[in-house]
Amino acid sequence: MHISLGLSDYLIIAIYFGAILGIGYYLKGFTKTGDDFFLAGRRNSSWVAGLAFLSANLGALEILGWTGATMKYGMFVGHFYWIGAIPAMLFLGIFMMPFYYSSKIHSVPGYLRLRFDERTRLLNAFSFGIMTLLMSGINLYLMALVFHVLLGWDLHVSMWVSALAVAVYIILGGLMSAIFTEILQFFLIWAGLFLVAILGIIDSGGIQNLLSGLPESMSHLWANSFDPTKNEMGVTWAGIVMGLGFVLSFGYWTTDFLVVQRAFSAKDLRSAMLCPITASFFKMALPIIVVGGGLVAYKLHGQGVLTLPENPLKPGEPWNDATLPMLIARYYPTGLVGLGVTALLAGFMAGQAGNVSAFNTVWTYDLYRVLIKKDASDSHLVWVGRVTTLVGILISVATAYVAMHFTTIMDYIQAIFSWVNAPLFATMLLGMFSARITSAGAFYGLLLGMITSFSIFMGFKLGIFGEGVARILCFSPNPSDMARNLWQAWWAFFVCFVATVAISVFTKPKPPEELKGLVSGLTERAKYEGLSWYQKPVPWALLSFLVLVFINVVFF
Amino acid sequence: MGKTFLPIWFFVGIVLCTYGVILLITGAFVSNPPNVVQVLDISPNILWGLILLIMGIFFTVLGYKLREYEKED
Repeated sequence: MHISLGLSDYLIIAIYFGAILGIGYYLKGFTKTGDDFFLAGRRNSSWVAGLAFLSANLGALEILGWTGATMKYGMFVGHFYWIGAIPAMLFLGIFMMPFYYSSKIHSVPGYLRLRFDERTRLLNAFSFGIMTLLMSGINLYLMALVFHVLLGWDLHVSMWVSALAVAVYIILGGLMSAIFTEILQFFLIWAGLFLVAILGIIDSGGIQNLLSGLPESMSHLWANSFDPTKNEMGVTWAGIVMGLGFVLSFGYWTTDFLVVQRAFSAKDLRSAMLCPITASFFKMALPIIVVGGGLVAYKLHGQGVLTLPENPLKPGEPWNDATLPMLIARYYPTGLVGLGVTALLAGFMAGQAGNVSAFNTVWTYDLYRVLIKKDASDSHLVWVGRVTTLVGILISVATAYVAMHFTTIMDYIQAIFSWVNAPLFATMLLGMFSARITSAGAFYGLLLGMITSFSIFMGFKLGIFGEGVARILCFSPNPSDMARNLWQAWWAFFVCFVATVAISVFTKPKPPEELKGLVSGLTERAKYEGLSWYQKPVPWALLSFLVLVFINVVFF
Repeated sequence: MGKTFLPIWFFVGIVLCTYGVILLITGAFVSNPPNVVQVLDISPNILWGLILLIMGIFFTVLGYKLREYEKED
């Protein structure tokens, strides 16, 4: 099934391409030094950094995927936007940002170098670089597939045009280009997709009517989480809290350089701390589009008035990722369709720009400067960053072609995130809050955590682990795939945590004078003399947390 | 970055204004396809176009004023 586009739709899409390329060209004149190219000149307000921080996470595939997942899991999808994000974002802002920002690093691996040693930095830089490029390639292929199936666009043209557009504006303006286009994407996603959820909710007779028509297993956030057989996700509250709310969420939001890099671009520590806190309010609002749209689609699907196309990757199955585009086709006339498609396109491209800008920084500062040219000048590093951007984009396109021909490889690549980030959170947590953790403990603990996560994944994938092992690992008599993913992350964190502590007990820590500004107790607290309460990060973090509690109580 | 560049809000404003105008013109001159479900009494293109235009003007002015403020600073 194809959604047809009119002249004004194409005009809206063309204006978007013109805008992002024009912004890149405009910013080129302001991008001279390494700090300009890799850290956007460290001059952004908390609003700019905060919206970019959220947008780096707000890929179109995430929106499409979770809207489709709502048709399957109902209100449980809200956990991924609320408990699965907000506590970690607030923790990053209040407790971790002072260490990150004060150390004036260019990247998360850069912090690992200062706090521990070169080998821990290299382990993380290599794994992050590979993960980022492979994920970027998979997203590129899936983007082209969405537009091919729904709009009839050629796969190759979609991939090359979007990839080259991203390459051009990142090469021109560096991180500032990425941040500008991410903020534009943020507004386009709300402008292009918010209305479709609202029209659907009105069409369904309002929110109360929509919720009352849902089966019991889909209509609550927590009430059905005490027994995994009573919710569609097949998980308990413990899995949600420990696996998603703690390890996966904290692992992603506090250590993934793709999002954290945006906070590094803030003009001062207060703005950097406010960055994830500002983003948290908008993150909490996204389920209006995602969960709202998904529930509308569920109701319409039940009435037989909305049908999903066949999944191109799993023939014979409905394609849940097409849920939101199907709602666009149902409610949007010509013009708004173009805006909806542009929102998705912007989401895909900004996500790719985020991946590439994070990759070029880690490659340039944590690999090239360490392993290849230690005495590189600032201008040489900017040149390397630009070349790396182009190379990174080409590797992404190559990965997309591999995924096109070997679709099963995507399961492995998408699992890399929990191999890398879940154990890294344990390393960061221990490293930032205990001066007793040693370099050897961090390196071997991180390595063991990554091996644990990888082994659990491969064990289930290759059929080495049966249901008995799954029941033990997931503390559940009948664990679902989702429960396995959540608990896999927990075990990776746990092994890394225990191994890091155990090895640190028997090895020698760095002297305190080398850890100033990097560890709690050895870092000066942020001071806000002369500022009103509403200019300080903590009151806003408390307000965000109260809103989170309120939402969870309302939809309990 | 020594020089002052236009804040992102200015570009966001220009893009939203342009989209608002396009939606308003489309809503005024192009009729809805029959397969599109009509939920509101007003054309969604006109309603949303107007909202985007107002937001666009706000952000364009905000961006411009912020740049002036930074220059003075």
